[in-house]
This record gives sequence, structure tokens and C-alpha cells, in this order.
Amino acid sequence: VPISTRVSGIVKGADSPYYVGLRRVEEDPYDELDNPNGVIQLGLEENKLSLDLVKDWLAEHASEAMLGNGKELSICGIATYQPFDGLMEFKVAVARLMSQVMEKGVIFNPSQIVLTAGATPAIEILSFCLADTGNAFLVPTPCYPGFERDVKWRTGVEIIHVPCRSADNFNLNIAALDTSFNQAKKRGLKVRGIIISNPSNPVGNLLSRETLYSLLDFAREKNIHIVSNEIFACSTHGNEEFVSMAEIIEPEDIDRKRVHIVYGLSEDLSLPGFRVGVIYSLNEDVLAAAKKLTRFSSISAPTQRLLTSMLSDTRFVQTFIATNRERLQRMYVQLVAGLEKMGIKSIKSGGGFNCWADMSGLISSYSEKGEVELWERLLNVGKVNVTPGSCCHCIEPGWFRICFATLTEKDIPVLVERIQKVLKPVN
Amino acid sequence: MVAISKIATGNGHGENSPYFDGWKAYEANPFHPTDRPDGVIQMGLAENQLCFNFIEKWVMQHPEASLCSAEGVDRFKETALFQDYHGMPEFRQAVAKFMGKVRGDRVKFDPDRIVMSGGATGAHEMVAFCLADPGEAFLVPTPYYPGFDRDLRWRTGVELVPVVCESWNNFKITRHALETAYEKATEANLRVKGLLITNPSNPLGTILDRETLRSVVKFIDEKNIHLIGDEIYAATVFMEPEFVSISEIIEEVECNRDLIHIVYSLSKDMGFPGFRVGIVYSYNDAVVSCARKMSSFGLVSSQTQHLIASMLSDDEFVDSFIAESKEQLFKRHKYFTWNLSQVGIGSLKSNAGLFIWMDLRKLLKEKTFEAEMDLWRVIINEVKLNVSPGSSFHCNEPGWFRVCFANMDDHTMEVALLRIRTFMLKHNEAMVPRKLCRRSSLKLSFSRRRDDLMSPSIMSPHSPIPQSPLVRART
Repeated sequence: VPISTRVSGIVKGADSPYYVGLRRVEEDPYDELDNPNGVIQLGLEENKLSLDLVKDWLAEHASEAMLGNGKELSICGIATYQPFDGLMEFKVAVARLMSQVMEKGVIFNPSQIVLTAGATPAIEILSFCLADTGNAFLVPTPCYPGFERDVKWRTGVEIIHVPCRSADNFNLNIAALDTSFNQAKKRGLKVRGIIISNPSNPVGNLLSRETLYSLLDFAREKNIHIVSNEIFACSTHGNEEFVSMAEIIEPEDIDRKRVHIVYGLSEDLSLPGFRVGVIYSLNEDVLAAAKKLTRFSSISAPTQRLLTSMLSDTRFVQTFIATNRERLQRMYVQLVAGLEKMGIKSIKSGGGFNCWADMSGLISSYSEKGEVELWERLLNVGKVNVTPGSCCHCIEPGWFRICFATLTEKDIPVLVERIQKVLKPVN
Repeated sequence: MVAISKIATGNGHGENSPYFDGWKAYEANPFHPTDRPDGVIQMGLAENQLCFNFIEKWVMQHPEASLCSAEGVDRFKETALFQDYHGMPEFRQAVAKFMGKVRGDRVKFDPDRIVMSGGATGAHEMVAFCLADPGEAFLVPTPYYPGFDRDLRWRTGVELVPVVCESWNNFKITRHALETAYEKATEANLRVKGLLITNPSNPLGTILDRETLRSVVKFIDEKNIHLIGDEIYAATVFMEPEFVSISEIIEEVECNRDLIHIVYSLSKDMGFPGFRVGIVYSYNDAVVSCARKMSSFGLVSSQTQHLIASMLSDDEFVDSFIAESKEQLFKRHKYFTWNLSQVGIGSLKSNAGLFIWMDLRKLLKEKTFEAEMDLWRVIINEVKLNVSPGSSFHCNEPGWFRVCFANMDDHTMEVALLRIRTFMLKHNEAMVPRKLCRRSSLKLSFSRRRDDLMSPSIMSPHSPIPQSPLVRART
């Protein structure tokens, strides 16, 4: 029976290591007491470290949150059709959160916000707004595997991967962007923008102020857009400074029309189930179009109401941000130490939930095949689910993404032991 | 100046159509009983607000269903993290059960075929993405919901070809109309991938009878095209005849089940569009699998899934809600249509939906869509009601208007009716011929009408005023 050709492309990806690994964990999840031989999940970018803080807030403020003004149910008045791009009260709360998270006195204006049901549709909507079918975005790699879906699936837009190198610590290289841009031009492929993640995913680099300025210069020169995916802005750990694109762009700057920030509550507030994504842009035309497109991906109104309450408690937010950063830092340091003990080095991460580990010395052949073989052994023998760098389109084989924010401190020695079991230096 | 996309700058959003002009007029001056008593009353929004207090009561009595309560907060952790595009099993089970109940438990729905989407809006778009490529087409019987032009076409690049239905047989979908549309599409070199029917119908408020449904299923099976059944108004059927779903027909008629898909939502039936709960139910495994992955673009908030799973698992509540909702809709519909008939306004006989398909053909200065627009402007600007003109629904005949009646309280309804009555009385006075008119200065400028005026058979049976003929009341 004929269905669309789009479908075949989508169904294809189901057997990638990313999905296979997730399924294996689902079938046989590790639990310290109930299933000590289960598969340890290191492949899902979730943060369980600070959920208890949010839960405690809810337990304490339960009735307030439910009964808006004391008598009336807070879902009253919002069960009906609401603006598809979000309730203004929630936009105000989100703008305030972003200002708190990104610090440095950057004020986010709620009128420049469009809310979406998660960062996933936020990226897709921007792709639809900034590029036509057949156009392309430059995406530095290694990158978030989900971009394939968010940017390409339904839009017909292409992604041109711009490889970053371990020699640069996988930092963004403007010269490489330039080369890719020119190559694309020669092929007749029109580049409409660059999509960066800052903090970067999977490596965890924080882009320096200098780099961001250079990026803006590059975008200006080529007259293209910049989409800055900043969903881990609050999940920084360590001492590096996080600089948002919002700091680089002045309100009167003519370049403000080419910069668009994606944010969300899934990573930074550990609420992926609630589906809250943000498009922040100073380009009125993009905002107007994005607003109309949010009808396909709106946030559930009661969720908006609940989170407005929570985010309005600025003291709670402050405490959460600080505590969460501490806990991420602690877990990160422990994981890195554990890996180092086995001789596995990683790139110093400034933010996010991942450790980007170099196991290239441990793969049987310096190729994607060798990498996947090691991944399989880690999954089947070691019973740990990590993500092979090829899923993140890393050009150098042997790198692995290890998500640490779903672990407890007790898990670290267990996983070190498991990995040790698998490793056999082959070179 | 950095350019943006064609989709962003184009008109695919459809907001330049008159359907939305009325909304703009409403937004500029919305009615409020105390603050703006002369504002525009919104009768263009198909929202079901008649039973919200029922839902409110249930939520208050079941704090464990809301995460934000001492009883419910224990589920918080799993819920907050739950972003699996399969959806919570208890949510799918509850929705499947509800869908079955709404169809009198004559069919069972499989929870594993339920896929979430961003409201019915997202569901329709998702189905279009799954079933058709850019440039391919769906057949859609007219009159149809204006949002389809946007939801099915804007980002997908899919075309819509109208299946013209006509008032002489109450807009029935005939085999002939289907064949004609299919041929037209073929002549225009459009590959038809499917047929989209809305049952109960928006804007008609009618349900498809068994015979029509069987004929539709046979048609799509023969042509090997998909059938998408938009059944979002299924629980708003407030009167006989009973609703018959596609899911029931395929048990009776041989057809390829891979062609059958249902779009559902809780926005109309339960009256909470703000919750954004859209559902795609497909009998085709490949479509379920693909749609499920695409649902990442419009997952239902886990908090909402949790609430709905609890609510819809409460059999007693569901049964009484469905009954109460029908009762309220029946009463409101009856009251509204009766009052309209009192001033000589008829509408298509309907037993479902949140609106009526009002017949104002006789009020048109001439049988044209321009005249319809003129009349509509008068209704918006002078009568101050936002109703939706039939042309925006692609009705092939001017003079029909969709009027929503379930999105307001009793007081607002009375104000709306008073405005209609006042308008009609003024209009009737203006139409009364010199013989009957007490005001000798009245000039008549509608000589065509004189014959109609004099004909006794057109007098409305309920109206005490011997008057000009508006339409025979059809209710």
C-alpha cells in the first residue's frame, strides 16, 4: 500500500546503535538491588541528579500550584484554546529563568519568545522558517544525533557536517566552516545557516566569546543565520564561563536578525516529560512565522500553569541552579577519574551530561566498524550502554559518548569494573 | 538582510481568509458581560464549554491525578522524566477505552495503535506527512473545516481536491461526487493518496449514515487510496440517529485495513483544547511506527497524560460525563435553533457537533459569494456576532453560515439571540410590502421578492408575524 517516501527514510534509522542500546536497557535495566546484572544506562541524556529538588518544591507548594488563587482550580480558564505559542505568564517566567541561567545581566524579553512542545519541534520549526526544501545547514560534528530528525525528516532540508578534530579538542573551527560553505556552493547547495550547540553536545565544550564573535562575523559575511542550541546552559559545571549568543548580539545590532536561540526545560530542569521548548529570536519575521507554526506543537496549558508557579519562585530556581551544578560537577569528576584509572582519557567538558571519551586505542580497527564492535562488546559483555561516536557523526573513530547524569555515585565503581572486563588493548 | 524561507513568508497559514477576519474583529473588541457589553460575541469558535464544571469537580476530588498534590507527587519523578514517544501505557489504555465507550462499546480499540500528536491539528499534519508526498492529493468533501487547508497542506506540500456536496440532498457524500472529484484530480495530474472525511461533520453537525459510510469504504478500497476519518466530534452526538464510526464499518465491509486511519482528540469531546491531546489511530502498522517517531514533534505532556489516564479510567465519571455532555448539548442546540426559527431562520437538521449550519440564503441580495460576504460583514459589524461564512468552508452555494453555540454561558447566549432577533425584526420590517407596512415612507427596492412575499406556503409555522419569507425552518 502506497504511503509517503518520507516514511522509508524515517523507519530506516531504527536499527542504529543508539536505538538498539536504548531497547536493551529497557528490556534489562540495571538496578542495584533488583537487577544488579542489568544493563547500565549511559546512553540517555537525562539528568536524574536534581529531580528530588523539583519534587520537594512540588510537595511543598502542591495546593498553591493546583489552586491558582486559593479558590479556583488553576486549570480553570486555561482548559480552553490558548495562544498556541504559549501563555504570556509562562513566557514571562521562562524569560526570567533564561536571564537567571545565562547570567551576566542579559535580559530576555518575553515578547521575543515562542514556546513549543519541547526543543525538538523548536529546532524543526526554525528549520522550516529559515530554509527551503533542498537548502542546507552547516552542523559542526560531533553533534547531537537528534538533529537528523529535527532538521531533515519532514523539512527536506540537508545537513552538511563540518568535522571538528581532536587536535582542536573538537572546538569549532571557522576555517572548516568556510571550506564546507564553499564546497556546498560549488555543488549548488545553498547554505542558509549554521546550527551550533553551546554547551556543545556531545563534547561539552563551552564556546568562547572570541569564537562566538568570529562565528557572527562568518555568518554576516555569508549572510546566513545562526541557530544556537543552548539547552544545557544551566547544566554547566566547572569553572569556565558560559557565554550565550544573546550576550554577543546587541539589541540595535543589525545582525540580531540572524541569530536564534533554542532553549528548553528538558535538560536544565530535568523535565523532559513536560515538553517545554523555547525559540528566542530578535527577528520579527521569524517570530511571526514560528508563532503560527506552534499550532502543531503547543505546550499543554496545565503544564504551563504549573511551571509558571515553579519558575516564579526565584529563590527555588537560584538554589536549584547552584545545587544542580555542584552535583553535575561531582558526578563528572568521579566518572572522569574512574575512566582515567583505566587509561581512558576524555575531553574536558564545561557543561552538559556527557563525557566524551577516547577509546580509539582500544578498538580492533581504526574505523567505524571497529568502533561499533567495541560498542557491541561493551553492551553485550560489559552490559553498559554507551553511544558510539559515529552516531554523533564524529569523523574520528573510537570516541564514545558516556552520559553520567542518570548515575548515582555508587554506580561508578560498578561501571568501571564492567568496562575493565571488556577492555583488551588491541594495538 | 538575511532571508527566511518560503514557508515563513508565504500564505500557507491561511490567516488571510475571511474565516479569520471575523476572529480579528472579535479580538479587537471581544464581548464581556460587564466590561464590554457591546463587544463582538464569538460564535466562530467550536469549543465545548458546557461541561467544564464536571471536569473541575473530578480534578478537585482526585488530587492524586494531579502531580501537584501531596497524594500525587510520588509519581512525579517518573512522570517528569517520561519522554518516550510510545506514550504512557496507562494513557493509551485509558484513551482506547474512552474511544470504545464513545462508540457504545461496539468496537474495541488497541492501545498499541494509539499515537500522540499536538492536538488534532498536529494529528492531521502528521497523517499527511506519513501518507503523501509533496504534490500528491487528498479528496475532501465540502463544506469542510477551513483549518484543513493549512494543517494538511502548509508544511507537507500536499494538495486538497474538493468533493462537492450539495444542499439539495443535505450535503450527502454521494458516490457520484467522489468519482467526479477523483476524475478531476486525475485530469489535473494529481495523484490521489486518500480521502478525508469528518464524521460527525464540521461544519454541518450531521453524522454519516451507514449506507454512505459503506459506500465510502468501498470507494477507497476500490481505488486503493487511504481513508482518514476525523472523528473528533464523536462524543458530541446528542440525539438520534446514533453515531457510526469507520471502525465499526470495517467490521462489516471487506476492505484493506492498511488504508484505514482515524484522527481523534479530546479537545471537542471533553472540552479541553488547552491540554493539546491529539491522537492518530491507524490500522496500518507501518503508519503507526512512522507516526510514533514523528510524534516527537508533538508529544502530550506527561503531566497531562497522567491526569487523563486517571480521569478516563474512572468509568463512573466517564459514563456520567458523556451523558451529561450530550444532555447539555441537546438542550443548548434545541434552545438555540428554536429561537432562530422564531425569527424565521432555519438551519440544516443536525444531531451533533458544537455548531449549526445556518441557512441565510434568502437574506442574500443575490445568489453570489460577494453577497454572502456583504451579509457576513453586516453580521460582524452591526449585529456584532462572529459567525463563519460558508465560503470559507468551500461550500459551493452562498448563504450558509456556521454558528457555534457551545462556547458560551447562558447569559451570553441570550445576548446573542437578542441581537439576532433585533436584526431579523429590523430586516423583516424592511422586507414587509407597502400593503402591510404601517410606515408609508418605506421604499421598496426588491421587486423580485414580491412574489415570494405573497406566497402563503412559505410562512414560518412558528412565527406570529406574517412576514417575508426567510427560509422555511428546517429544524
